Amino acid sequence: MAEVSRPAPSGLGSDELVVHPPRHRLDRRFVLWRTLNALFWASGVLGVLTALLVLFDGIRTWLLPITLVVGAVYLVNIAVMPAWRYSVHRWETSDEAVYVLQGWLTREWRIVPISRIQRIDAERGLLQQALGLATVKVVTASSEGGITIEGLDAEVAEETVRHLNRITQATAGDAT
Amino acid sequence: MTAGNPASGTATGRTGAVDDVPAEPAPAPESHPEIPWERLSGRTVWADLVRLIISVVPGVLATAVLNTPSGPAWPLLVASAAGISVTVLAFLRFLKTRYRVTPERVERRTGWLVRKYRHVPRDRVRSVDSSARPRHRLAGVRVVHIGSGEARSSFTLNALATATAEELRRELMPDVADEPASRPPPVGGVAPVVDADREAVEPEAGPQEEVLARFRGPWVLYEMFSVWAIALVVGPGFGLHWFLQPFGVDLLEVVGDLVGYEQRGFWWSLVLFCAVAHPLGVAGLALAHVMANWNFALVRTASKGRPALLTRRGLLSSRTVYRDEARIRGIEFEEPLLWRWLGLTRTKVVTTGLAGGSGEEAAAAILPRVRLWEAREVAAGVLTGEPSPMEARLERHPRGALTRRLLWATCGAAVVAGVLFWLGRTDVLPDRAWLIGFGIWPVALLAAVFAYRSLGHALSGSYLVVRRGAFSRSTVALETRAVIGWTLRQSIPQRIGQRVTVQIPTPAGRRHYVLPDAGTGQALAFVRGATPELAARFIAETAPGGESAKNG
Repeated sequence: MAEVSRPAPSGLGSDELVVHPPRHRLDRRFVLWRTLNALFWASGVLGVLTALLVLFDGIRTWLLPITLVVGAVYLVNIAVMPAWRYSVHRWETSDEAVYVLQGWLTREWRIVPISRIQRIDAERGLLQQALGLATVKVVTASSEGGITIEGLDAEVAEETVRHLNRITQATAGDAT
Repeated sequence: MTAGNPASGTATGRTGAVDDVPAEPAPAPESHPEIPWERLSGRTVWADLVRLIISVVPGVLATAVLNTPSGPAWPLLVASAAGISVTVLAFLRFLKTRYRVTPERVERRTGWLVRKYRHVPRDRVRSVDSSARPRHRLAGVRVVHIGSGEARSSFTLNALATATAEELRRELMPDVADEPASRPPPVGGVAPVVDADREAVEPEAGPQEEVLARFRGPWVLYEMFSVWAIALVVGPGFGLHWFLQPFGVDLLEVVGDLVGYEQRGFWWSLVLFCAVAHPLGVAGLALAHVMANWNFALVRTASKGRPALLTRRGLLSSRTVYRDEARIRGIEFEEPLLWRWLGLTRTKVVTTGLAGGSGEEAAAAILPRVRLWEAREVAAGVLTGEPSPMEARLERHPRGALTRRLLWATCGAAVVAGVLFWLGRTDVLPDRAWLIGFGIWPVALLAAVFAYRSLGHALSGSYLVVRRGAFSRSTVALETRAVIGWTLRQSIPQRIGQRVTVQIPTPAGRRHYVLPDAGTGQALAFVRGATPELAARFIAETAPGGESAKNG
């Protein structure tokens, strides 16, 4: 599968127990994809806000600060977030579980045992198709328990979905 | 694991229970042509007529007979028109509604322009309850609600003759009480809560009912502590006011005279009014509670060989709620602030296979408002086989969790004050508005302290226990086999303070429970203790000398 990485730069642990990070990193094109994505949204949202600022004088007093804040947030989203996320995100699938580490400022470790998976999909948006990327979605019976792995190489994603489908069928499901 | 068929369990989360019963004839109005469709009771029409008369007569009286001084009685005329149209619709519904009970399901079809077909598989029927307004009693009919725990497939039959309704209830929900088989006499006439459980561990022969809780007098008292009691008087009061106005009676004036508004002034009149209206409201609440919960009994029975928790209650119309025990995954206590101070709690079971909705709320709640110790006893009776997880000692969370909450409270108040100050400067709001921020601060600080004091978690046998909540504290005991994964979240302040938030996804109850701000060591030990196999996939013991603890 994808390149095997060293452990993530920072772990989660106490004196007795540690969480070891998932094994694989994302595809490098993830950074480009997230940057383009953020650019797309930034141009849309900021475009609307600027248009409103130009057209309506009266609301400028309160819209201007909001626009500045939104602009700053998007600047960070474009310049910093994609690379930061790339350095944090890790994923791993085994015969027992799907396990990911995601986030940038707030980090999130998610694990789902194979026996609790209801559905596995690979999804590809337009931009992802152009970049040869794909998203793997793992759905469970809990609305909050699913896992989404974004920014995998399309082939790796397909292979992962195939592998997971094979073992979920082999694993006895739980009735819960 | 043990619960019903896998398809039903897994599918309910997304696609609903309606369309996943293979092998049997497909659910459709055309299946089972040999079973005839039944009509609603003809006497329903009488109930509708009573409503028609009640809604039309005041309007007619007001316009024709009384010749009111305040012009035509528009509100009453509108009410009459509404009454007429509702009656016409009800009559159409009566004409077009059919229902029947097949071996697999209960079905109803209805609709004038758009035909609607609904069905509940019989093993999915969670509750059958009948209600009746006075006009229904007059006509001798009952409105029957058939609940599947899902709003989409539950339906109402409005209305059936009283005997038919009772028959239907028995058919869909065969109580042990109704079965001819011999059964032991009910556990001691006024048996206090769960004494049955401790002796009844050894299985007895024959069908049996184990009473877990019975109606007790003091429950009525607990219902009285409600801030909303006064609304029970004020609401209908205003209704009456609008109703009487066209007749030239000003109810506000009458009440004003009664409390002596002129001499006392506004505030004292208000106090006097509340002093009178609140007890009235409380009496109303108590009455409603007695009507709904008279003869309340929570029993464990084995209908059709499957253990189930059954609630029966109701003074004038009985209501039965059925919960498959194989689907129960835990128990939840909910204690809003005022109740917590009084030591009262709401008790719910955490079950799988039910999607959200008010129907589920009703099915999940196993007790009315009771004292915490009573709820604990019942919980011990419901979750048998080990020491009750609801009595487990909870571990406190690190001090940092309190600091974080106090900081958030302070920042929140400061932000509110700042924004209001800014708005005040730009003349959108009055200048002094920012003082509201100061008002919020102590409340927010208090909430932070409450929230911290609520935090707690424990592992108890095969259950995990999680407690949280600032104003409404909830304590959940969840079976570890119902845990379908883990999410650990750590923000930057949490990383510095060595804390982590644990989210527990599950197919049962609220679908996920959260344990905020546990110490990292606590959280990892908790995860490992609850699901050792899964935890082995991502949690390891620190290798001596390894790069472990201080990675933040």
